[in-house]
Formats: sequence, structure tokens, C-alpha cells
Amino acid sequence: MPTTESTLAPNIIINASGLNHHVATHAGNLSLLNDINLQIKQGESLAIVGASGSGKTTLLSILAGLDSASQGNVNLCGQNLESLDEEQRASLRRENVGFIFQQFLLVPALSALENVMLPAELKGVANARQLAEQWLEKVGLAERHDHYPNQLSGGEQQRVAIARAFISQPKVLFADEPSANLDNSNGQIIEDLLFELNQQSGTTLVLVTHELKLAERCARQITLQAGRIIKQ
Amino acid sequence: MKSLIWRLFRAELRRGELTIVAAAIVLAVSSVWLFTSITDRMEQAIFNKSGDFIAADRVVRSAHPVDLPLAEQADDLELDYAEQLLFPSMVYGNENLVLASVKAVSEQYPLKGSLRISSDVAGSDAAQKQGIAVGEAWLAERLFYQLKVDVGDAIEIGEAEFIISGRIVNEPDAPFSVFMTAPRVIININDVAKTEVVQPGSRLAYRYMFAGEKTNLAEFENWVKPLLADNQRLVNVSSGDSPLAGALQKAQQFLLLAGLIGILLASAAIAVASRLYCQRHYDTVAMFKVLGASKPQIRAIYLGHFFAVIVASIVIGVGVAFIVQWPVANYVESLLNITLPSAGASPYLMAIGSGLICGITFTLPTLIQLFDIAPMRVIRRDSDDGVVNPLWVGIWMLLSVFVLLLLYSGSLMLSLILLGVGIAAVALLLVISQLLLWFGKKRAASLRNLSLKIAVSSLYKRAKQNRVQLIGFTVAIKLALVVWVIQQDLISEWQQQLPEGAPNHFMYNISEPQKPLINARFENENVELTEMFPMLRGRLVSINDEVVSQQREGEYSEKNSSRRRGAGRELNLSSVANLPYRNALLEGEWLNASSVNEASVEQDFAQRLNITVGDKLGFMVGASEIVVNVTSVRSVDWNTMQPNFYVLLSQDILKDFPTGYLTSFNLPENKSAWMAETMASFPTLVLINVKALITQLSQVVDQVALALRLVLVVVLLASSLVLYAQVQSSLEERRQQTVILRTLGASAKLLRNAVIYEFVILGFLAGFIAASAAQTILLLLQVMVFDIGASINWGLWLLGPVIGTLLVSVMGAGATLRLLKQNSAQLVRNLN
Repeated sequence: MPTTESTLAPNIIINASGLNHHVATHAGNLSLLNDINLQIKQGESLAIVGASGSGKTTLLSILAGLDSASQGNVNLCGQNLESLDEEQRASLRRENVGFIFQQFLLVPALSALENVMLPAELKGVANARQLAEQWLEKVGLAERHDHYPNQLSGGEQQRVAIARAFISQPKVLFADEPSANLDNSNGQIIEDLLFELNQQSGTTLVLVTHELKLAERCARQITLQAGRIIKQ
Repeated sequence: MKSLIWRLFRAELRRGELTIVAAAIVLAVSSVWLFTSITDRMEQAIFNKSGDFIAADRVVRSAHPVDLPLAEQADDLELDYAEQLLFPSMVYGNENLVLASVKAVSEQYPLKGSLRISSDVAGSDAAQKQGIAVGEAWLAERLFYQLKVDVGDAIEIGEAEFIISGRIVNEPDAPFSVFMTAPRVIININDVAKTEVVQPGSRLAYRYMFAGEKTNLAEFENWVKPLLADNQRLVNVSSGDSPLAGALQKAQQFLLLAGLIGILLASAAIAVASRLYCQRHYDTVAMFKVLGASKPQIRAIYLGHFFAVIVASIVIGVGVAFIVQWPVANYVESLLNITLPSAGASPYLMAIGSGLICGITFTLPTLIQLFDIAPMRVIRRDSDDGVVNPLWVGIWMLLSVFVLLLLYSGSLMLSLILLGVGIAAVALLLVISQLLLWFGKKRAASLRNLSLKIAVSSLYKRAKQNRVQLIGFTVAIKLALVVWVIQQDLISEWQQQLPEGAPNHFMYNISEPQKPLINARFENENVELTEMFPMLRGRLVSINDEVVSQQREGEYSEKNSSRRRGAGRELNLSSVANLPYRNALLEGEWLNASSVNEASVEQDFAQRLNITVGDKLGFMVGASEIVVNVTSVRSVDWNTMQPNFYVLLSQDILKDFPTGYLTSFNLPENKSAWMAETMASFPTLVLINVKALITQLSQVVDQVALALRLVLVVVLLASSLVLYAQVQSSLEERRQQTVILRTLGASAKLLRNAVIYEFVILGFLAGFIAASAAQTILLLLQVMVFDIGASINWGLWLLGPVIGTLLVSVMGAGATLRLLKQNSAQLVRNLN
């Protein structure tokens, strides 16, 4: 993909410039993001905070290449996302990106171990099972390999999701409200685990949250309001 | 990657997600296998047996010798071959002269069926025979009475003398038109020349008969058909107007239709089940894409799954059918006393082909939608809305259904009726459901019953999904109703034609003075006579004062060629007070006691001779001419074993002529001796025994009725599967609502009632619309395919809504109520 190579400084892993995003509704165009410019350095941890409906999740999905902005550019891991088709973006995610979602989103038909193996298998890693076992051990679920998602508690499911996110050693990890669906103590465990593993692997972390306490654990925070960055 | 596909597949199997798709394919495959093996073999066996009715599999009929190497061709194709020559001739015996119908046969006659001959007049020692020796003759029972001869006596036909060597007890290819045919004499075909009765201009009927393997017969047909002249015909048992032909043709059409419907239902179940499967996997596919799975990887996973399911289901389907067919085939063979021919390879090919076509065609559109699910769905649930394109999916499905219909039936008309009414029903359904839901929503606010309120508002809320669901329910109920009604109608129609105790003997030539004597004699013996029909022989000579041709069908003569078409033979004229059994007045007024010089004409006869109400018909009866006005046209069911007439006259006309009478009766087994005595006391009477014919006919009807019932079972199974698949597909949607209401503290009873009300409304609607659609299909089929009178089936209108309500609510509520048994925590967990 030579045409999509970037000319950014080598330590910038995500660069968003002039991002605008709107959707058509019955009442006309609804603006979700306005003139977003953002640079994230390799290994940096960034929290995107804001109230509900401020555009946090929309920004995350555009930065991760899950959605396309109406206007503007996103450069992720040296690739200009606007010039990539769906397949190329999938390939980019496969090689460089990990995700953690509020709803855990494990594949219900697969066991904990198989869920963790999934990204490595899609990538064609030969020792996927061995790696998955190691990661499950790291998140404290070595004994629950064969359990299916509906046999695990919410906290356990999120730990599986964290192991799944890290197994392919992503350059960037996107986390969308990772502890919002959990009680305080489980939420705390998940947050600690996430930051600990992130530090160990030197991954860039982009975290969406509405909790200031969690956001403060990141090196940098930006605050969104009505689709604009009001504080950086 | 392969291990991932396999692991996911195993997991899907464990969770039973592919069970309905698999069950639908298994059903499609096994039903096609059963249809094409059992019913096809039954049909073949029935046809083979029915070949008995024409004493061959194929017959070439001609009024002149056929100048083709028929015998050589039969030999080349390894077909059995026999010849017949039929001609009327006076037979002289014991100083009596009687007009007989002579059948001269070659040694191989009959190729099929049983020719049974007894060595005495009573017919006590009837034995199967083939061919007749030169110089011998076999006579019909009534000729013995008419000629006053016995076995061993001599008779003369033309210039030749024959020794009577037996009585004909059963003639396989006896004519179905039993009235007024001259009694039969069978002689050897090599004796024809010496009778010298066959002269130029003689009324002759040549029959060349063939029997053998189906493929060889087909090859023979292909060879001979283009070579036959206009007045030569190739017939098989289903050609012609015999009651048997009618029954067989209708049964064949029904089997075809029911087979089609079975496959359509299985396809619908496959489509519904695969849609459900794909919907359940939208989130998973979105997640795969988020994790970086490429489209080829996703395609490999899901196409791999479906390929495995389709192949496994085909194997299981064929296996199931193979196991089921043993007891079924044995049962059919023992019940109907037939031997089923071997199934051959074609059922396997048909079943595998249908499984592949149904499996691929009806799963592909939903799979393609699945592949297109956007990764954004993991964040926003509605993000796949743009992917779903119901228009192309709809067109694809309709095209597939049409191709399947056309391939399987080979009938454009049948395919168009089924598809056309199907589309109309869907359109009607959309309009009605929208109206009802709209009306329901308006009324819902004022409803006091909270369960009903929830039911109505949730129906409205899920209007889009409910419409799809309604279409599924309606199609399933509609098609099952169509098959059920046709099956009932056909069987009851045949049974009406051959009711228990139907007349098995006809007697005619009863003179006016003999009438009271015969009545008394039969009354004494408790044998009930049907109506006495007066009979008059007349020749149609003019229509509206225009002289008509007297030439027979297929004959050509200079003199007659420019004349208006006539009946071509003498007609039996009669007069009755009431419209005869299974006759229907189509036009004009029925004859009454005060009618003068009026006539009622049968529909086909009127059509053939271009006669309409108001026309004047002239008949020669003996030396006098009578002229009558046509005042009505009526349809006649020729399939009943009852006397029927092309032309019925007003009662005033017959008073002027000496008429004979015709009657019919059911003669019990133990009264044969008494009957023989009666015939001896009234030697001028003519008796025709149709018992053997009726027995054979009712056997065929039994066989076909059984085939129809077997088909109905398969159709009902397929239809239940569609309902089940449809209910399953709505479960996901209901789960969420149940969670919310349960969390809000709604009682189980409230929710249960809401669910039941919802399914009752859906079921009733589906049943009602299904009844309307089924009625429309039936009316069209009755008129355009089965050629029987159009009739409204009121039972359908009751059965449709009742069955719809019951089945849908029991299945729907049954499946959904399981949700209510789970506690809220379980439900929430399953939601995730």
C-alpha cells in the first residue's frame, strides 16, 4: 500500500486532522464531531472524556477505522484510513490494533480460551493456543479455559476480553468504557489489569470513559463536549 | 484457519443453531426421495397395473391397416407385441342371428391384464388365457342367451364356422362405454380372412399393442408419433375419457402439486431458519471484523459451515428416507397387492439435486447479508440497516421459487398460479396486517386488559418483523390447506363415483309390457332397481334445418366433406323427469312435464357440433323424423358408473315411439343363479356385468388415495417446520422485551398472557389470510388444472383461522414461555 504511507514524525502513531462527522436524521443533519485535531504518540495513554452523547465513542470508532468521518483525515500506524477499503482496514486492525468494549463482546459459541486465541488465529500465528493460555494465566483465568461466556461473570468476561486484546501484541489498544458495566470492585480489578498490561507491553492506549478517576490514570486527557475538544 | 472453522462449527452444532436449517434440508431431501421413489414407484405400479385396462402399455389405434414396420420396431426395442382387429358382424347360431362385436386377436393377446375364460356359461371355472386357437370362438355371456347356444356348439361369422370353446368372464380391454355395445366374440386374427366379412368400406378398428420397459416404450413413442397419420392415435391408459384415465390424471397432477408444495415449504423453512441463524451471527461477524478478520476469512467460516450442514443433511436425508421407505414400501405392497418396481438411481439424483438447490439458493441471500455486516455494529446496533436490501433478496427468492416450481412441475400454468397467488397473498397480508395493527394501536390505549394492551402494542412495535413472520405462517398454513382440501376433494369425488352398493349390472331392451314384471321380480328378490330410463335410438340428421354429415370421426368421403359436422353414429335418446345424478345445468331451462319438442344437450357434444340453446335438431327415429328445440346445455360426469346421455328429450316425444327401457342394479354375490334364471325367463333382455370393472376401478382409487395421504403427511411435517423456524426467529426479539418487563417487576402471568394474546392474534390473522389465499388457489386449480367445477370450501374458512390460531399460539407461546421460566439474571446474561 505505498500510496497510503504517511510522512508524519515517526513517534506519532495516530494523527487526526480536521475531523467532522454528521449523520442524517429525520430532523436534518446531526453533527457528532466538529473540527477534531489530535495527535497521539507511540506508547502514550490518552483518555477521551465527556458526558453521554458528547461524541467520545464516535471519535474512538473513527480513530480505530471502524467508521469513516464525513470530513477530515485519520492516520493510524502510518496508514491513511480514508484511502483504505474495508479489507485493508481489517488487515490494519488485525496487525496493529486491539479492542476492549463495555459489553465485553465475546463470541458466545467459543470458550474463554478459544475467544482469546481468535485474533492470533485470524493473524495466522502458529502457537495461538499456547499464547492464549499464557494470556489467560496473566489475567487470572487459567482455571477457566473451557468455560463459555455465559458461564462467566461480567468481570471474568472482561478479563477474557483483555487477554484477547493483548494476545496479538497490538501497537494501539482502544478501550471503550471498559469498566462501566461492572461493579466497583470488579471495575477496579479490570482497570488495574488493563494499565498493568499496557505498561508491560508498551502499547498505546486510547481509552474512552466518563469517569474522571479512570481518565486521570492516563498520561493525557482530552474532554469532548458536543463533538468538540474543549480541553486538551 | 481450518481448525477455527471446525471449532466454530462444532460449537454451532453443540448450541443447535444450525438444527433447523439441517432439519429443513433433511426434510426436503427425504421428501423428494420418498416422492420420487415411493410415490413414483407407486404411480408406476398403478400404471403397470392399469395397463391391464388396455391390455397393453401402448396401443396404436387406426381405422385402416397401419403401413409401418410396427412389429419389427417392437422387436428391436424388446417390446411385446400383439394385434387386434375389431369389426361388427352378424353372428349366426342355432338359427338365431345377432349383431356382435368381433375381436380378432393374435396369439400374444392380451399383453397385460387378465383375459379369463370359462368352459361353461355360468363362468364357474374361469381361467386365465392368452390367444385363442384357430377355428374357435369365445362368446360374451349374453350371446349365449341371445343365440340360445352352449359351449361346444357351432356359430357362423360371415363365411366361416367356429366352435364355441368358452365364455368370456373378463376381457381386460373391454370398452368403458358399456351401453349398447354389441356383445363380444373373440376369434383368432388368422381366421378373419376366411369370414370374408372384411370388405372395403367395412367399419374396422385396428389395434397394435405394445408392452415393455418404460424407457423402451418412450423410445417407441418417439419413433412412432411423428409417423402416425391424423386418424391414427397412440394411446396409453391415461389417454382418453375413461373414469380410470380421469382418476389417474388427477392423481398425477395432485402428486406433482403436493410434491411441489412440500419442497416449497421445506425451502421456506430453510430460508427462515438461515435468516434466523444469520441474524444471530451479526454481532459475531461484526466482532470478527473488528478483530481484523478479512472477508475471505469470514466467507470461509460461514460458507464452510453451511456447506458442511448441506452435505451432512443431504446424507442424513437420503439415509432417513432409505430407512423409512422399507416399511412404507412393504406396507404399500401388502396393502395394495402390487409389486413396486425398483427405484433406480433417479430418486438419489433428484433428492441430492433438490437438497443442493434448496440449500444453496435459500441460504445464500442471508449469508451475503451476513458477510456485509459492518464492524461498527459492535458499537451501534442499527448500523447494519443499510446492508439489508429486501428488494433484491425478495426478487432472488421469487426467482428461485419460480425456477424450482418450473423445474419440478414442468408446468408454466401451475407455477404461475402458485407464485401469482403467493405474491397476491403477501401483498394482501401487508395491507391487512398494517390496517389491523394501525386499528389495534388506536384501540390499544383504551384496552383495560394490560396483557392485551402489551400484546397489541408489541405487535405494532415489531410491525416489520411481524409482517415477515406473518408471511411465513401464512405460507405454511395456506399450502397445507391447499393440499388437504385437494386430497379430500379428490378422494371424496372418486368415492362418490363409486359409492358402496353402486350398480354393477346394467339391463336394457326391457319392453313396456315387461316393465311391471321385471319390477315385481326384482322387488320379490329384494334387489333394488335404479330408475328405468326409456331408450330410443336416433340419428342426428339436421341442425337448424341444415343436413349434417353422417361420416364417422377420421373417415373421409367426397359426399360428406362439405356438410356440417354430425354425431357420426346413432345416438341413444332418453327422457327423465329430473336432472340426472352429477349432471349440472349450464345454460337454459331444464325440461319439465309440460315441455314440448324440447331437448337438453351435453356440453362437450354441443361444443363439438357447435350447438347452442335455441338451435333446432332433427333426428331420424326409424322412419320418422322428429325436430326438437335445444332448451338447455348440461355438464355430465362421465366418470360415474351411471347411465348418461348426450341428448335428453322432453317426455312428450317418447310417448309416440315404442321404447325399450334401461335400468341398473347392484347384484349381490349370492344371486347369480337367480339372475341366470331371470335371463332365461326374459331371453330378449340384455345384461351387462360391470362388476370386474368396478372392482378394478375402486382398487386404483384406493391405491391413489393412499399415495395422497402419504404426501399429506410430508406436507404437514414441512409446514410445521416452517412454523417452528418462524417462531424461533422471533425469540431473539422477544427476549429483550421480556428482560425489561421482568426487571420492571411484571408478573409471569401478565407476560404469559401478553405472549399468548400476541400469538393468538398473529395465528388468527395468518390462518384467515391463508384460508383466503388457499381458496383462491383452489378455485384457480379447480378451473384451470383439475378441470372440475369451482366450489367454495367453507370448511377451509373455519379450519384456516382455527388451525392458525391453535398451532401458532401453541408453538409460539411454548417457545416463548421458556423465556419466562428463566430468572432475570439468566436472561440478561443471555442477552449479552
